[in-house]
Amino acid sequence: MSAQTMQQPARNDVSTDTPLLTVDRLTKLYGNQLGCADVSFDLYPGEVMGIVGESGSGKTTLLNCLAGRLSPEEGSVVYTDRTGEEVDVHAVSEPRRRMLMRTDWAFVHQNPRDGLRMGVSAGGNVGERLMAAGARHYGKIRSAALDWMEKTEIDLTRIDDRPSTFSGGMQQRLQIARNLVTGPRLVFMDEPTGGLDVSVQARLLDLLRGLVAEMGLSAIIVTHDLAVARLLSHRLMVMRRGKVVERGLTDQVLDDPQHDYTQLLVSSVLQP
Amino acid sequence: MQEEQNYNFAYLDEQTKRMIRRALLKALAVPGYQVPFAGREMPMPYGWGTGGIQVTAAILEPEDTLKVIDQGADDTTNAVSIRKFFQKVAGVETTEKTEEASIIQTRHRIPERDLEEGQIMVYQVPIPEPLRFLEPRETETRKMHALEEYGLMHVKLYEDIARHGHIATTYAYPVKVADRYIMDPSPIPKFDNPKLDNSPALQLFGAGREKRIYALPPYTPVKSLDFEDHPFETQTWDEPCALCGATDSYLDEVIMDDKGTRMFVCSDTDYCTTRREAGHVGPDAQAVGEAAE
Amino acid sequence: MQDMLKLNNVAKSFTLYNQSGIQIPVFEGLSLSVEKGECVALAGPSGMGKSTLMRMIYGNYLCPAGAIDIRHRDTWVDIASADPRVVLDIRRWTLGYISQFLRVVPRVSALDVVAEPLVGRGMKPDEAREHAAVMLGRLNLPESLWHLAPATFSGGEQQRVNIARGFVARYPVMLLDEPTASLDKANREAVLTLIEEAKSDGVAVVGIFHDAETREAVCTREFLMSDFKKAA
Repeated sequence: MSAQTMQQPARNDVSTDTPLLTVDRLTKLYGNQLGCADVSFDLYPGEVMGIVGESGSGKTTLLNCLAGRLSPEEGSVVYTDRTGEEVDVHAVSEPRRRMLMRTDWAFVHQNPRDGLRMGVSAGGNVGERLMAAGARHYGKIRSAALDWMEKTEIDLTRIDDRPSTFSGGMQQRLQIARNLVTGPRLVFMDEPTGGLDVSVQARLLDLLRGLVAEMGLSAIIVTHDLAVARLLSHRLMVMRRGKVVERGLTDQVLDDPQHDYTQLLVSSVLQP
Repeated sequence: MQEEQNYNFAYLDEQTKRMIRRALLKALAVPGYQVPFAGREMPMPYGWGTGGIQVTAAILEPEDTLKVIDQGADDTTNAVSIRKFFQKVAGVETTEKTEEASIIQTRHRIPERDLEEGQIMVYQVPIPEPLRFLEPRETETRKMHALEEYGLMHVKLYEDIARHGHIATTYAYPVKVADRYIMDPSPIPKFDNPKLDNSPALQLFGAGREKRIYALPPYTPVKSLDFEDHPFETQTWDEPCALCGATDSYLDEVIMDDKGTRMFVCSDTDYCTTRREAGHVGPDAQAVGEAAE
Repeated sequence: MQDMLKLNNVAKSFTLYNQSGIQIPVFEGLSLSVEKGECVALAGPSGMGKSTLMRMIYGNYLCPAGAIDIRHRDTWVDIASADPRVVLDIRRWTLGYISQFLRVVPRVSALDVVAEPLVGRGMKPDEAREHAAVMLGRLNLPESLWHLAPATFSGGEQQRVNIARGFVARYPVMLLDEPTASLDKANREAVLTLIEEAKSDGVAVVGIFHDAETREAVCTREFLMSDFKKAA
């Protein structure tokens, strides 16, 4: 019989966790136009949350507000840093916020061109965050870059090539390597597999899934692709017209949707 | 030479000079920080040192002695034009001797002779922003300076090593000033970078096209950026100056004929001349003398 | 014996908003307790909501009325009202579920699919793969398939990967939805042995077994779903 006993170790007992991110009544308006309204949730260490909805539902606006890239009209986003200190993302000074963005946080853009320096070699792209954090040993920076290229399945001989010579899938993997090299705790992803071929998507998803699990990352992933959401996220928020219409465990929301809009969304997916 | 009646002293009007001096004072108060100033049109094209000229015009006094060099030489077109300009509009003394000058306006070099207290260096700067080539957005580079986010500068050096095996940047080599601001030292060779550090002279930098002024007060620490395993190094030559035999100066390569014969001579003409007058002789001095006859 | 799972007055119906909001009632007033070492077979004709109930216990379907209490980390937790991350913790340590179909993840090998529950508990991947290999061996999956992604496997092969994944980590409570469908006799025997071993380890099992022979072999009692059928 299997060596696994029924004993449950006390470790990773979720009941003792404190949230990594606490979002309270977040509202963002564009003039009179609603970006997102009254969004509240807690994100816990190691949790991956998907935000799904059609274009214009406010999911990217919400993500940008969460990541401190847009200022909301109302509400707050509080992040608990490595020392246990609570940081109000929109109230802290800009230096502190930017410091968070390049150390504790990472942001993966849909278009890798927005997240990479196209004129800098792959190695330089991966090394930048290390150098920003004070790394001053070329050899060590380079070996860290190689290590991450290997993890993200990029041919190591391409380390000195510019990302402009890479395929879309490689660029996206490079963006991920560049973001994760400093071991962030929270990753924001905006349609990370959008614009990629299906076969390339699968590889990227598999990679992301593995890295998130291996590093114990928390992540917030915006996607319109329900299959991506199912594969990557533990739980789900469904957005429509700026509001969260349904939330819950990912497979529960997708397999037993309660809201009429979610039912429409789920039933609209084409089956190959 | 007689002062032209049509010009205010040193060409610029007094209000403009005051404005530039205020910018200079701010620049001195925050060493390495780029201060914007309302740059004026000068009677020469951008790229000819309009920034340096405005700085010189703003600090020049009638009793000053001015030296102007371009690539280390006093007799190149750019240096001659600027020297003549100030002779005409300010009537100041000019010199080619480094030790006699109270103000030295320069493009691309710092004199070999040690500068002294009381001397002022004025650098002509084409592109004041060292982060420009990696981050084209001015709004972003200013923020990076303000928040001391300088990882990007090392990315440039990283790229150099990745591509060439060593830091291949040989001029405009970035420095950190007083452990705070990253600064472009203007297109001087990195050979001259150590002279910036802890210099007894006052050093002023003017960028005319981009309308920025920055400065190093005397005795400011200036460190050239590098990696632990690729430390900053200056250029060296295998041979001494062919004319004066100097082994401690920055050498220019001179092509002698169409058969590829070449020789290396001091780029600082005043330094080379002074040494030869003192009796120093380089290996090729004789040959050059004969060729000239 | 100790109760592991207690369903109290559970009801379920589906509302289809995109079909003029029609309500499809499934069952109501359903209560059931399962003890350690028991294997309860959900019985009754199809359409009674057997699979639906299994999915509700797993937290996959929402439970709108009643409570589904499970003994988790030595306390009772109501799955029907638990936070998503608590449900995931229950699934990681307490509650296993073998569905009829394997949800295939592209590019992940059969061995890794089976090892995943152990890795999720913090075991080193190499060690987890060793356990996975043992389990796949017991279910007679040819070794040549272990390093391939199961997407191209036959139904029976996929089902054996699914079963191996369910049994590789020991869960105190297990849900089995037709575990032996699409298996030949030899493989069915292997699965029955696994279930018997689990029972003698004290695992509480709830299952759906259409095959009467299998049902009689492993089940300690039957639970008749048609008693709770709600009229439309």
